[in-house]
Amino acid sequence: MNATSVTLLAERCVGCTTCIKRCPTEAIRVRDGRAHIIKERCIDCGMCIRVCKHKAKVAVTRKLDEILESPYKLKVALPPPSLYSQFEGNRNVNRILTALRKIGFDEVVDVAMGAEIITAATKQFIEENPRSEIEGPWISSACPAIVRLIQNRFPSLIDNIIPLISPMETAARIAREHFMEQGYKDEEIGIFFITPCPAKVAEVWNPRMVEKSAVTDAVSMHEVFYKIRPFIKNIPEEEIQVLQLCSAEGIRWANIGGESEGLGLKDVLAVDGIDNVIEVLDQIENGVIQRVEFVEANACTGGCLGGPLAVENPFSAKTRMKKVLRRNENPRCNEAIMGKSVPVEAEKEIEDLDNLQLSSNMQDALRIMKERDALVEKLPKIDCGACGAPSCFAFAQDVVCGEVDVDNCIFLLKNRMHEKEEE
Amino acid sequence: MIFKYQVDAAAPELAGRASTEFKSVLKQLGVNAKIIRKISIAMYEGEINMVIHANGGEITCTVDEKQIEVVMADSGPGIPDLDLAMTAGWSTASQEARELGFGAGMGMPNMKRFSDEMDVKTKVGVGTTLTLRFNL
Ligand SMILES: Nc1ncnc2c1ncn2[C@@H]1O[C@H](COP(=O)(O)OP(=O)(O)OP(=O)(O)O)[C@@H](O)[C@H]1O
Ligand code: SF4
Ligand code: SF4
Ligand SMILES: [Mg+2]
Repeated sequence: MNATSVTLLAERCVGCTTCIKRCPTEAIRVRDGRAHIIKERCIDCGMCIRVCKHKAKVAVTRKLDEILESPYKLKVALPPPSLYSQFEGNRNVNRILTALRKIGFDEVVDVAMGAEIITAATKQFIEENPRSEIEGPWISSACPAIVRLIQNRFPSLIDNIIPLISPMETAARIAREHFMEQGYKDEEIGIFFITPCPAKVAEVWNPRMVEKSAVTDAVSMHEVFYKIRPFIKNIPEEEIQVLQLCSAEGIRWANIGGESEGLGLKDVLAVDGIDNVIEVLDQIENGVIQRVEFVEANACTGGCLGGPLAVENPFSAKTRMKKVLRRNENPRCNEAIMGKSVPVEAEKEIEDLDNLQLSSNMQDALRIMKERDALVEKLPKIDCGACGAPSCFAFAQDVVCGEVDVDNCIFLLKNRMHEKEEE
Repeated sequence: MIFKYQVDAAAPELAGRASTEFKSVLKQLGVNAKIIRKISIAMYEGEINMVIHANGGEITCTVDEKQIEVVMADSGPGIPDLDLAMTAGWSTASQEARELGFGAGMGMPNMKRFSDEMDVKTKVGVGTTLTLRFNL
Protein backbone atom coordinates (compact mmCIF):
# COMPACT_ATOMS: atom_id res chain seq x y z
CA MET A 1 0.00 0.00 0.00
CA ASN A 2 1.06 3.61 -0.58
CA ALA A 3 3.13 5.10 2.17
CA THR A 4 1.72 8.58 1.63
CA SER A 5 -1.78 9.66 0.73
CA VAL A 6 -0.85 12.82 -1.17
CA THR A 7 -0.46 12.00 -4.86
CA LEU A 8 0.02 13.85 -8.12
CA LEU A 9 -2.53 13.73 -10.93
CA ALA A 10 0.07 14.04 -13.66
CA GLU A 11 -2.39 15.03 -16.40
CA ARG A 12 -3.44 18.12 -14.45
CA CYS A 13 0.06 19.26 -13.50
CA VAL A 14 1.51 22.06 -15.61
CA GLY A 15 4.88 22.09 -13.85
CA CYS A 16 4.50 25.54 -12.33
CA THR A 17 6.57 25.98 -9.21
CA THR A 18 3.94 26.91 -6.65
CA CYS A 19 3.89 23.71 -4.64
CA ILE A 20 7.65 23.10 -4.60
CA LYS A 21 8.16 26.40 -2.83
CA ARG A 22 5.40 25.93 -0.30
CA CYS A 23 6.18 22.36 0.78
CA PRO A 24 7.53 22.65 4.33
CA THR A 25 9.85 19.68 3.94
CA GLU A 26 11.01 20.53 0.40
CA ALA A 27 9.65 17.19 -0.75
CA ILE A 28 8.65 18.23 -4.27
CA ARG A 29 10.72 18.76 -7.43
CA VAL A 30 9.61 19.54 -10.94
CA ARG A 31 11.21 17.13 -13.41
CA ASP A 32 10.31 16.92 -17.11
CA GLY A 33 7.62 19.51 -16.60
CA ARG A 34 5.75 17.65 -13.84
CA ALA A 35 5.86 17.73 -10.06
CA HIS A 36 7.37 14.71 -8.33
CA ILE A 37 6.91 13.98 -4.66
CA ILE A 38 9.90 12.55 -2.83
CA LYS A 39 7.88 10.10 -0.77
CA GLU A 40 10.41 9.68 2.03
CA ARG A 41 10.22 13.37 2.81
CA CYS A 42 6.47 13.94 2.42
CA ILE A 43 4.64 14.32 5.73
CA ASP A 44 1.15 14.38 4.16
CA CYS A 45 0.43 17.84 5.52
CA GLY A 46 -1.61 18.68 2.43
CA MET A 47 -0.07 22.10 1.88
CA CYS A 48 0.41 21.31 -1.82
CA ILE A 49 -3.26 20.29 -2.14
CA ARG A 50 -4.23 23.70 -0.81
CA VAL A 51 -1.90 25.77 -2.98
CA CYS A 52 -2.17 24.02 -6.36
CA LYS A 53 -4.39 26.11 -8.62
CA HIS A 54 -4.72 23.27 -11.10
CA LYS A 55 -5.96 20.79 -8.52
CA ALA A 56 -3.16 18.44 -9.52
CA LYS A 57 -2.45 17.29 -5.96
CA VAL A 58 -4.99 15.03 -4.32
CA ALA A 59 -5.31 12.87 -1.23
CA VAL A 60 -5.93 9.23 -2.02
CA THR A 61 -8.78 7.95 0.15
CA ARG A 62 -11.23 5.05 -0.04
CA LYS A 63 -14.26 6.00 -2.13
CA LEU A 64 -17.53 6.20 -0.24
CA ASP A 65 -19.48 4.05 -2.74
CA GLU A 66 -16.83 1.40 -2.52
CA ILE A 67 -17.17 1.36 1.26
CA LEU A 68 -20.94 1.20 1.21
CA GLU A 69 -20.83 -1.68 -1.29
CA SER A 70 -18.04 -3.52 0.50
CA PRO A 71 -18.74 -7.01 1.89
CA TYR A 72 -18.24 -6.02 5.55
CA LYS A 73 -21.25 -7.19 7.50
CA LEU A 74 -21.04 -4.17 9.77
CA LYS A 75 -19.94 -0.87 8.29
CA VAL A 76 -19.03 1.61 10.99
CA ALA A 77 -18.48 5.32 10.33
CA LEU A 78 -15.94 7.07 12.55
CA PRO A 79 -16.64 10.82 12.37
CA PRO A 80 -14.14 13.23 13.98
CA PRO A 81 -15.43 16.34 15.77
CA SER A 82 -14.15 18.57 12.95
CA LEU A 83 -17.07 17.26 10.86
CA TYR A 84 -19.50 18.91 13.27
CA SER A 85 -18.27 22.37 12.29
CA GLN A 86 -19.04 21.94 8.61
CA PHE A 87 -22.79 22.38 8.33
CA GLU A 88 -24.30 25.82 8.07
CA GLY A 89 -27.06 26.35 10.59
CA ASN A 90 -26.73 22.97 12.31
CA ARG A 91 -25.56 22.60 15.87
CA ASN A 92 -27.10 19.23 16.51
CA VAL A 93 -24.43 16.54 16.41
CA ASN A 94 -26.98 13.71 16.56
CA ARG A 95 -28.50 15.04 13.34
CA ILE A 96 -25.17 14.66 11.54
CA LEU A 97 -24.62 11.19 12.98
CA THR A 98 -28.13 10.11 12.00
CA ALA A 99 -27.45 11.32 8.45
CA LEU A 100 -24.42 9.02 8.32
CA ARG A 101 -26.68 6.07 9.00
CA LYS A 102 -29.17 7.28 6.40
CA ILE A 103 -26.55 7.10 3.65
CA GLY A 104 -25.78 3.48 4.49
CA PHE A 105 -23.46 3.13 7.46
CA ASP A 106 -24.77 0.52 9.91
CA GLU A 107 -23.24 2.13 12.95
CA VAL A 108 -21.59 5.38 13.94
CA VAL A 109 -18.91 5.82 16.61
CA ASP A 110 -18.14 9.40 17.62
CA VAL A 111 -14.37 10.06 17.71
CA ALA A 112 -14.91 12.88 20.24
CA MET A 113 -15.30 10.10 22.83
CA GLY A 114 -11.78 8.92 21.99
CA ALA A 115 -10.59 12.50 22.40
CA GLU A 116 -12.10 12.71 25.86
CA ILE A 117 -10.37 9.46 26.85
CA ILE A 118 -7.01 10.67 25.51
CA THR A 119 -7.39 13.94 27.42
CA ALA A 120 -7.69 11.99 30.67
CA ALA A 121 -4.80 9.69 29.74
CA THR A 122 -2.58 12.65 28.78
CA LYS A 123 -3.32 14.37 32.06
CA GLN A 124 -2.32 11.30 34.01
CA PHE A 125 0.74 10.66 31.86
CA ILE A 126 2.09 14.19 32.34
CA GLU A 127 1.49 14.02 36.08
CA GLU A 128 3.40 10.76 36.32
CA ASN A 129 6.19 11.82 33.95
CA PRO A 130 7.23 15.39 34.69
CA ARG A 131 9.87 16.84 32.39
CA SER A 132 12.90 18.75 33.55
CA GLU A 133 13.11 22.24 32.04
CA ILE A 134 15.96 21.22 29.86
CA GLU A 135 14.30 18.12 28.40
CA GLY A 136 11.63 20.45 27.10
CA PRO A 137 7.87 20.03 27.06
CA TRP A 138 5.76 17.04 26.12
CA ILE A 139 4.40 17.30 22.59
CA SER A 140 1.01 15.93 21.56
CA SER A 141 0.99 12.97 19.18
CA ALA A 142 -2.49 13.73 17.83
CA CYS A 143 -1.57 15.37 14.51
CA PRO A 144 0.23 12.75 12.40
CA ALA A 145 1.66 15.39 10.07
CA ILE A 146 3.49 16.88 13.05
CA VAL A 147 4.73 13.50 14.26
CA ARG A 148 6.14 12.93 10.80
CA LEU A 149 7.62 16.41 10.68
CA ILE A 150 9.45 15.62 13.90
CA GLN A 151 10.65 12.27 12.51
CA ASN A 152 11.96 14.04 9.43
CA ARG A 153 13.30 17.34 10.62
CA PHE A 154 13.45 17.34 14.42
CA PRO A 155 14.53 13.83 15.41
CA SER A 156 15.99 15.12 18.68
CA LEU A 157 12.40 15.80 19.79
CA ILE A 158 11.09 12.28 19.19
CA ASP A 159 11.41 11.55 22.91
CA ASN A 160 9.19 14.54 23.67
CA ILE A 161 6.20 13.06 21.83
CA ILE A 162 3.62 11.70 24.27
CA PRO A 163 3.49 7.91 23.76
CA LEU A 164 -0.29 7.70 23.61
CA ILE A 165 -2.44 6.66 20.64
CA SER A 166 -4.80 9.06 18.86
CA PRO A 167 -8.50 9.70 19.54
CA MET A 168 -9.24 8.08 16.16
CA GLU A 169 -7.42 4.89 17.12
CA THR A 170 -9.01 4.87 20.58
CA ALA A 171 -12.52 5.21 19.17
CA ALA A 172 -11.84 2.48 16.59
CA ARG A 173 -10.60 0.10 19.28
CA ILE A 174 -13.69 0.72 21.37
CA ALA A 175 -15.92 0.24 18.33
CA ARG A 176 -14.28 -3.07 17.48
CA GLU A 177 -14.53 -4.32 21.01
CA HIS A 178 -18.13 -3.24 21.39
CA PHE A 179 -19.36 -4.83 18.17
CA MET A 180 -17.39 -8.01 18.78
CA GLU A 181 -19.17 -8.27 22.13
CA GLN A 182 -22.37 -8.02 20.15
CA GLY A 183 -21.40 -11.12 18.21
CA TYR A 184 -19.65 -9.83 15.09
CA LYS A 185 -16.35 -11.35 14.08
CA ASP A 186 -13.33 -9.07 13.80
CA GLU A 187 -13.13 -9.53 10.04
CA GLU A 188 -16.82 -8.77 9.60
CA ILE A 189 -16.40 -5.26 10.98
CA GLY A 190 -15.26 -2.47 8.64
CA ILE A 191 -14.40 0.80 10.42
CA PHE A 192 -14.06 3.89 8.25
CA PHE A 193 -12.64 7.17 9.47
CA ILE A 194 -14.09 10.33 7.91
CA THR A 195 -10.85 12.17 7.41
CA PRO A 196 -10.18 15.91 7.32
CA CYS A 197 -6.65 15.33 5.98
CA PRO A 198 -4.24 13.04 4.12
CA ALA A 199 -2.08 12.72 7.22
CA LYS A 200 -4.73 10.66 8.98
CA VAL A 201 -5.12 8.43 5.93
CA ALA A 202 -1.40 7.68 5.96
CA GLU A 203 -1.68 7.03 9.68
CA VAL A 204 -4.30 4.36 9.04
CA TRP A 205 -2.24 2.71 6.31
CA ASN A 206 1.07 3.07 8.06
CA PRO A 207 0.63 3.69 11.79
CA ARG A 208 3.62 5.15 13.64
CA MET A 209 2.56 4.25 17.16
CA VAL A 210 0.61 0.99 16.88
CA GLU A 211 1.38 -2.25 15.03
CA LYS A 212 -1.85 -2.31 13.08
CA SER A 213 -4.63 0.26 13.06
CA ALA A 214 -8.08 -0.77 14.24
CA VAL A 215 -9.40 1.50 11.49
CA THR A 216 -10.06 -0.32 8.20
CA ASP A 217 -9.62 2.67 5.89
CA ALA A 218 -10.36 6.38 5.57
CA VAL A 219 -12.88 8.26 3.44
CA SER A 220 -12.62 11.94 2.56
CA MET A 221 -14.64 14.40 4.66
CA HIS A 222 -15.23 16.36 1.50
CA GLU A 223 -16.92 13.41 -0.18
CA VAL A 224 -19.00 12.52 2.87
CA PHE A 225 -20.05 16.15 3.33
CA TYR A 226 -21.77 16.40 -0.05
CA LYS A 227 -23.42 13.04 0.37
CA ILE A 228 -24.95 13.76 3.78
CA ARG A 229 -25.77 17.43 3.41
CA PRO A 230 -29.21 16.89 1.79
CA PHE A 231 -30.15 14.43 4.56
CA ILE A 232 -29.08 16.81 7.30
CA LYS A 233 -31.52 19.37 6.06
CA ASN A 234 -34.39 16.96 5.59
CA ILE A 235 -34.37 14.57 8.53
CA PRO A 236 -37.50 15.25 10.60
CA GLU A 237 -36.82 15.95 14.26
CA GLU A 238 -38.48 12.71 15.45
CA GLU A 239 -36.19 10.58 13.31
CA ILE A 240 -33.00 11.89 14.87
CA GLN A 241 -31.30 9.10 16.80
CA VAL A 242 -29.22 9.43 19.93
CA LEU A 243 -25.78 8.43 18.66
CA GLN A 244 -23.52 11.00 20.20
CA LEU A 245 -20.89 9.69 22.63
CA CYS A 246 -19.39 12.79 24.12
CA SER A 247 -19.94 16.37 25.21
CA ALA A 248 -18.11 19.57 24.29
CA GLU A 249 -15.13 18.25 26.27
CA GLY A 250 -14.10 15.98 23.38
CA ILE A 251 -15.66 17.97 20.52
CA ARG A 252 -13.38 20.88 21.41
CA TRP A 253 -10.39 18.98 19.99
CA ALA A 254 -11.42 20.06 16.48
CA ASN A 255 -10.18 23.55 17.38
CA ILE A 256 -6.58 24.44 18.02
CA GLY A 257 -6.29 24.86 21.79
CA GLY A 258 -9.18 22.49 22.49
CA GLU A 259 -6.92 19.58 23.26
CA SER A 260 -4.86 21.42 25.86
CA GLU A 261 -7.83 23.19 27.40
CA GLY A 262 -9.10 20.02 29.02
CA LEU A 263 -5.75 19.16 30.62
CA GLY A 264 -6.01 21.73 33.39
CA LEU A 265 -2.28 22.46 33.23
CA LYS A 266 -0.77 25.84 34.04
CA ASP A 267 1.60 26.20 31.14
CA VAL A 268 0.49 24.93 27.77
CA LEU A 269 1.35 26.14 24.30
CA ALA A 270 -1.00 25.60 21.37
CA VAL A 271 0.36 26.29 17.90
CA ASP A 272 -1.32 25.89 14.51
CA GLY A 273 -0.14 26.24 10.94
CA ILE A 274 2.84 24.19 9.78
CA ASP A 275 5.28 27.12 9.51
CA ASN A 276 4.46 28.29 13.02
CA VAL A 277 4.92 24.76 14.30
CA ILE A 278 8.36 24.56 12.67
CA GLU A 279 9.37 27.77 14.43
CA VAL A 280 8.22 26.47 17.80
CA LEU A 281 9.96 23.10 17.36
CA ASP A 282 13.17 24.89 16.45
CA GLN A 283 12.92 26.90 19.66
CA ILE A 284 12.24 23.81 21.74
CA GLU A 285 15.37 22.26 20.25
CA ASN A 286 17.38 25.31 21.27
CA GLY A 287 16.04 25.01 24.80
CA VAL A 288 14.24 28.35 24.55
CA ILE A 289 10.79 27.04 25.40
CA GLN A 290 11.32 25.53 28.82
CA ARG A 291 8.63 26.45 31.24
CA VAL A 292 5.86 24.96 29.13
CA GLU A 293 4.53 21.54 30.16
CA PHE A 294 2.62 20.58 27.04
CA VAL A 295 2.67 21.60 23.40
CA GLU A 296 -0.37 21.04 21.22
CA ALA A 297 0.70 21.40 17.60
CA ASN A 298 -1.61 21.19 14.59
CA ALA A 299 -0.37 21.32 11.01
CA CYS A 300 -3.55 23.07 9.90
CA THR A 301 -4.57 26.65 10.61
CA GLY A 302 -7.35 26.58 13.17
CA GLY A 303 -6.78 22.89 13.95
CA CYS A 304 -8.43 19.87 12.33
CA LEU A 305 -11.50 21.87 11.37
CA GLY A 306 -9.15 23.60 8.93
CA GLY A 307 -7.96 20.29 7.44
CA PRO A 308 -7.25 20.18 3.69
CA LEU A 309 -10.20 17.85 3.10
CA ALA A 310 -12.68 19.90 5.12
CA VAL A 311 -15.18 21.87 3.05
CA GLU A 312 -15.70 25.00 5.09
CA ASN A 313 -12.95 27.61 5.49
CA PRO A 314 -11.38 27.36 8.95
CA PHE A 315 -12.61 30.75 10.11
CA SER A 316 -16.29 30.10 9.43
CA ALA A 317 -15.86 26.61 10.81
CA LYS A 318 -14.42 28.07 14.00
CA THR A 319 -17.33 30.45 14.47
CA ARG A 320 -19.79 27.64 13.97
CA MET A 321 -17.81 25.38 16.28
CA LYS A 322 -18.35 27.85 19.11
CA LYS A 323 -22.09 27.43 18.72
CA VAL A 324 -21.80 23.65 18.50
CA LEU A 325 -19.79 23.64 21.73
CA ARG A 326 -22.31 25.82 23.54
CA ARG A 327 -25.16 23.58 22.48
CA ASN A 328 -23.33 20.41 23.51
CA GLU A 329 -22.40 20.98 27.10
CA ASN A 330 -24.81 18.29 28.18
CA PRO A 331 -26.02 16.45 25.11
CA ARG A 332 -28.05 13.25 24.97
CA CYS A 333 -25.62 10.38 24.44
CA ASN A 334 -25.77 6.72 23.54
CA GLU A 335 -24.61 5.16 26.78
CA ALA A 336 -24.42 1.61 25.44
CA ILE A 337 -21.01 2.27 23.88
CA MET A 338 -19.66 4.66 26.49
CA GLY A 339 -17.51 3.84 29.50
CA LYS A 340 -15.34 1.15 27.85
CA SER A 341 -11.66 1.19 28.43
CA VAL A 342 -9.06 0.07 25.90
CA PRO A 343 -5.25 0.28 26.06
CA VAL A 344 -4.07 3.68 24.83
CA GLU A 345 -0.29 3.38 25.28
CA ALA A 346 1.84 3.51 22.15
CA GLU A 347 2.92 0.05 21.03
CA LYS A 348 6.15 0.96 19.33
CA GLU A 349 8.81 3.64 19.32
CA ILE A 350 8.69 6.37 16.76
CA GLU A 351 11.49 5.96 14.25
CA ASP A 352 14.15 8.54 13.50
CA LEU A 353 13.98 8.88 9.71
CA ASP A 354 17.33 10.64 9.32
CA ASN A 355 16.14 12.37 6.19
CA LEU A 356 18.39 15.37 6.47
CA GLN A 357 21.58 13.35 6.65
CA LEU A 358 23.68 13.77 3.50
CA SER A 359 25.55 10.49 3.84
CA SER A 360 25.92 7.76 6.42
CA ASN A 361 29.63 8.53 6.42
CA MET A 362 30.55 11.85 8.00
CA GLN A 363 33.61 12.48 5.81
CA ASP A 364 31.41 11.95 2.81
CA ALA A 365 28.74 14.26 4.22
CA LEU A 366 31.35 16.95 4.83
CA ARG A 367 32.61 16.61 1.25
CA ILE A 368 29.09 16.91 -0.14
CA MET A 369 28.51 19.96 2.02
CA LYS A 370 31.71 21.62 0.80
CA GLU A 371 30.90 20.94 -2.84
CA ARG A 372 27.33 22.11 -2.35
CA ASP A 373 28.35 25.35 -0.66
CA ALA A 374 30.89 26.01 -3.41
CA LEU A 375 28.19 25.51 -6.05
CA VAL A 376 25.72 27.73 -4.17
CA GLU A 377 28.27 30.52 -4.45
CA LYS A 378 28.08 30.30 -8.25
CA LEU A 379 24.28 30.43 -8.29
CA PRO A 380 22.31 33.70 -8.34
CA LYS A 381 20.48 32.83 -5.07
CA ILE A 382 17.20 34.22 -6.36
CA ASP A 383 15.35 30.90 -5.93
CA CYS A 384 13.61 31.27 -9.28
CA GLY A 385 12.52 27.64 -9.36
CA ALA A 386 13.14 27.16 -13.09
CA CYS A 387 15.46 24.25 -12.29
CA GLY A 388 12.59 22.49 -10.51
CA ALA A 389 14.04 22.82 -7.01
CA PRO A 390 12.57 25.04 -4.29
CA SER A 391 15.76 27.08 -3.84
CA CYS A 392 19.24 27.54 -5.30
CA PHE A 393 20.50 25.85 -2.16
CA ALA A 394 18.28 22.79 -2.65
CA PHE A 395 19.28 22.66 -6.32
CA ALA A 396 22.98 22.70 -5.44
CA GLN A 397 22.43 19.84 -3.05
CA ASP A 398 20.48 17.84 -5.64
CA VAL A 399 23.33 18.35 -8.15
CA VAL A 400 26.04 17.29 -5.71
CA CYS A 401 24.01 14.24 -4.67
CA GLY A 402 23.75 13.27 -8.34
CA GLU A 403 19.98 13.70 -8.58
CA VAL A 404 20.02 16.26 -11.37
CA ASP A 405 22.36 17.80 -13.95
CA VAL A 406 23.87 21.20 -13.24
CA ASP A 407 22.72 22.41 -16.69
CA ASN A 408 19.18 22.61 -15.34
CA CYS A 409 20.06 26.02 -13.94
CA ILE A 410 19.20 28.46 -16.72
CA PHE A 411 21.39 31.10 -15.13
CA LEU A 412 24.52 28.92 -15.27
CA LEU A 413 23.59 27.79 -18.77
CA LYS A 414 23.32 31.35 -19.98
CA ASN A 415 26.71 32.19 -18.51
CA ARG A 416 28.23 29.19 -20.20
CA MET A 417 26.75 30.18 -23.54
CA HIS A 418 28.18 33.67 -23.18
CA GLU A 419 31.59 32.22 -22.47
CA LYS A 420 31.35 30.07 -25.60
CA GLU A 421 30.31 33.04 -27.73
CA GLU A 422 33.28 35.00 -26.51
CA GLU A 423 35.62 32.17 -27.46
CA MET B 1 35.47 21.48 8.42
CA ILE B 2 35.02 24.97 9.86
CA PHE B 3 31.78 26.96 10.07
CA LYS B 4 31.83 30.62 11.03
CA TYR B 5 28.91 32.75 12.19
CA GLN B 6 28.80 36.47 12.99
CA VAL B 7 26.74 37.47 15.99
CA ASP B 8 25.42 41.01 15.72
CA ALA B 9 24.40 42.62 19.01
CA ALA B 10 22.80 45.52 17.14
CA ALA B 11 20.24 43.09 15.69
CA PRO B 12 19.00 41.15 18.74
CA GLU B 13 16.05 39.85 16.71
CA LEU B 14 18.58 37.65 14.88
CA ALA B 15 19.95 36.15 18.09
CA GLY B 16 19.69 32.38 17.87
CA ARG B 17 20.27 32.26 14.14
CA ALA B 18 23.80 30.89 14.39
CA SER B 19 22.59 28.06 16.63
CA THR B 20 19.76 27.23 14.27
CA GLU B 21 22.05 27.27 11.23
CA PHE B 22 24.70 25.11 12.85
CA LYS B 23 22.02 22.72 14.05
CA SER B 24 20.95 22.25 10.45
CA VAL B 25 24.58 21.45 9.52
CA LEU B 26 24.77 18.87 12.30
CA LYS B 27 21.59 17.19 11.11
CA GLN B 28 22.98 16.96 7.59
CA LEU B 29 26.14 15.40 8.95
CA GLY B 30 24.08 12.77 10.70
CA VAL B 31 25.23 13.66 14.22
CA ASN B 32 23.25 11.79 16.89
CA ALA B 33 20.03 13.59 17.79
CA LYS B 34 20.77 13.70 21.53
CA ILE B 35 24.17 15.29 20.94
CA ILE B 36 22.61 17.82 18.57
CA ARG B 37 20.21 18.76 21.31
CA LYS B 38 23.03 19.35 23.79
CA ILE B 39 25.02 21.43 21.31
CA SER B 40 21.98 23.52 20.30
CA ILE B 41 21.08 24.37 23.87
CA ALA B 42 24.64 25.20 24.95
CA MET B 43 25.47 27.17 21.82
CA TYR B 44 22.21 29.11 22.02
CA GLU B 45 22.99 30.14 25.61
CA GLY B 46 26.44 31.34 24.54
CA GLU B 47 25.08 33.17 21.53
CA ILE B 48 22.51 34.98 23.67
CA ASN B 49 25.17 35.93 26.23
CA MET B 50 27.22 37.49 23.42
CA VAL B 51 24.22 39.65 22.55
CA ILE B 52 22.97 40.46 26.05
CA HIS B 53 26.24 40.89 27.95
CA ALA B 54 28.81 41.72 25.25
CA ASN B 55 28.49 43.44 21.91
CA GLY B 56 28.33 40.46 19.63
CA GLY B 57 31.27 38.66 18.09
CA GLU B 58 32.11 35.55 16.13
CA ILE B 59 31.33 31.87 16.59
CA THR B 60 33.65 29.32 15.01
CA CYS B 61 32.53 25.70 14.90
CA THR B 62 34.98 22.98 13.98
CA VAL B 63 33.72 19.52 13.12
CA ASP B 64 35.74 16.36 12.82
CA GLU B 65 34.84 12.74 13.26
CA LYS B 66 35.56 12.57 16.96
CA GLN B 67 34.63 15.97 18.28
CA ILE B 68 32.78 19.21 17.74
CA GLU B 69 34.30 22.41 19.04
CA VAL B 70 32.35 25.66 19.39
CA VAL B 71 34.39 28.79 20.05
CA MET B 72 32.46 31.94 20.91
CA ALA B 73 34.60 35.07 20.98
CA ASP B 74 33.52 38.58 21.86
CA SER B 75 35.31 41.82 22.67
CA GLY B 76 32.80 42.81 25.31
CA PRO B 77 33.35 43.88 28.94
CA GLY B 78 34.77 40.54 30.12
CA ILE B 79 33.71 38.69 33.27
CA PRO B 80 35.26 40.01 36.53
CA ASP B 81 34.53 36.95 38.69
CA LEU B 82 34.25 33.79 36.65
CA ASP B 83 33.38 31.50 39.56
CA LEU B 84 30.47 33.73 40.37
CA ALA B 85 29.34 33.80 36.73
CA MET B 86 29.40 30.00 36.69
CA THR B 87 27.13 29.83 39.74
CA ALA B 88 23.54 28.82 39.02
CA GLY B 89 21.19 31.76 39.50
CA TRP B 90 23.83 34.48 39.40
CA SER B 91 23.16 37.20 36.85
CA THR B 92 23.94 40.80 36.06
CA ALA B 93 21.31 40.98 33.32
CA SER B 94 19.68 44.39 32.95
CA GLN B 95 16.05 45.00 33.72
CA GLU B 96 15.49 45.25 29.97
CA ALA B 97 17.00 41.82 29.38
CA ARG B 98 14.96 40.34 32.22
CA GLU B 99 11.79 41.63 30.66
CA LEU B 100 12.72 39.65 27.55
CA GLY B 101 12.92 36.52 29.68
CA PHE B 102 16.69 36.34 30.13
CA GLY B 103 18.61 36.67 33.35
CA ALA B 104 17.82 33.48 35.25
CA GLY B 105 21.56 32.99 35.63
CA MET B 106 21.35 29.48 34.16
CA GLY B 107 23.20 30.00 30.87
CA MET B 108 26.75 29.33 32.03
CA PRO B 109 25.84 26.37 34.29
CA ASN B 110 23.85 24.85 31.43
CA MET B 111 26.74 25.23 29.00
CA LYS B 112 28.97 23.44 31.49
CA ARG B 113 26.38 20.71 31.99
CA PHE B 114 25.74 20.01 28.33
CA SER B 115 29.29 20.18 26.99
CA ASP B 116 31.98 17.58 27.62
CA GLU B 117 34.57 20.29 28.12
CA MET B 118 34.20 23.99 28.76
CA ASP B 119 36.98 26.53 28.80
CA VAL B 120 36.55 30.27 29.41
CA LYS B 121 39.21 32.89 28.78
CA THR B 122 38.10 36.32 29.87
CA LYS B 123 39.70 39.64 30.67
CA VAL B 124 37.92 42.70 31.95
CA GLY B 125 37.83 45.39 29.28
CA VAL B 126 39.15 43.02 26.60
CA GLY B 127 36.56 40.33 26.05
CA THR B 128 35.55 36.75 26.55
CA THR B 129 36.33 33.62 24.58
CA LEU B 130 34.33 30.58 25.50
CA THR B 131 35.19 27.17 24.11
CA LEU B 132 32.81 24.23 24.29
CA ARG B 133 33.77 20.73 23.20
CA PHE B 134 31.41 17.87 22.53
CA ASN B 135 32.55 14.29 21.99
CA LEU B 136 30.87 12.36 19.20
N1 LIG C 1 30.05 37.00 27.04
C1 LIG C 1 29.94 37.58 28.24
N2 LIG C 1 30.48 38.80 28.44
C2 LIG C 1 30.37 39.41 29.65
N3 LIG C 1 29.72 38.89 30.70
C3 LIG C 1 29.16 37.68 30.56
C4 LIG C 1 29.23 36.96 29.33
N4 LIG C 1 28.59 35.79 29.49
C5 LIG C 1 28.14 35.75 30.75
N5 LIG C 1 28.48 36.89 31.42
C6 LIG C 1 28.20 37.21 32.84
O1 LIG C 1 27.92 36.03 33.53
C7 LIG C 1 26.64 36.09 34.14
C8 LIG C 1 25.99 34.72 34.13
O2 LIG C 1 25.70 34.30 32.81
P1 LIG C 1 24.55 33.26 32.55
O3 LIG C 1 24.44 33.02 31.11
O4 LIG C 1 24.79 32.09 33.44
O5 LIG C 1 23.27 34.01 33.10
P2 LIG C 1 22.44 35.17 32.44
O6 LIG C 1 22.84 35.35 31.03
O7 LIG C 1 22.58 36.36 33.31
O8 LIG C 1 20.96 34.63 32.52
P3 LIG C 1 20.32 33.47 31.57
O9 LIG C 1 21.44 32.93 30.74
O10 LIG C 1 19.77 32.45 32.49
O11 LIG C 1 19.31 34.17 30.76
C9 LIG C 1 25.88 37.12 33.35
O12 LIG C 1 24.84 37.72 34.07
C10 LIG C 1 27.00 38.11 33.01
O13 LIG C 1 27.28 38.96 34.09
S1 SF4 D 1 1.84 16.92 1.47
FE1 SF4 D 1 3.10 18.48 2.48
S2 SF4 D 1 5.06 17.44 2.76
FE2 SF4 D 1 3.95 16.24 1.25
S3 SF4 D 1 4.64 17.02 -0.73
FE3 SF4 D 1 2.75 18.14 -0.17
S4 SF4 D 1 3.45 19.98 0.86
FE4 SF4 D 1 5.19 18.55 0.84
S1 SF4 E 1 -4.18 19.40 12.17
FE1 SF4 E 1 -5.71 17.78 12.09
S2 SF4 E 1 -6.51 17.90 10.01
FE2 SF4 E 1 -4.56 19.00 9.99
S3 SF4 E 1 -3.03 17.46 9.40
FE3 SF4 E 1 -3.11 17.48 11.64
S4 SF4 E 1 -4.56 15.85 12.16
FE4 SF4 E 1 -4.89 16.36 10.01
MG1 LIG F 1 22.89 33.77 29.65
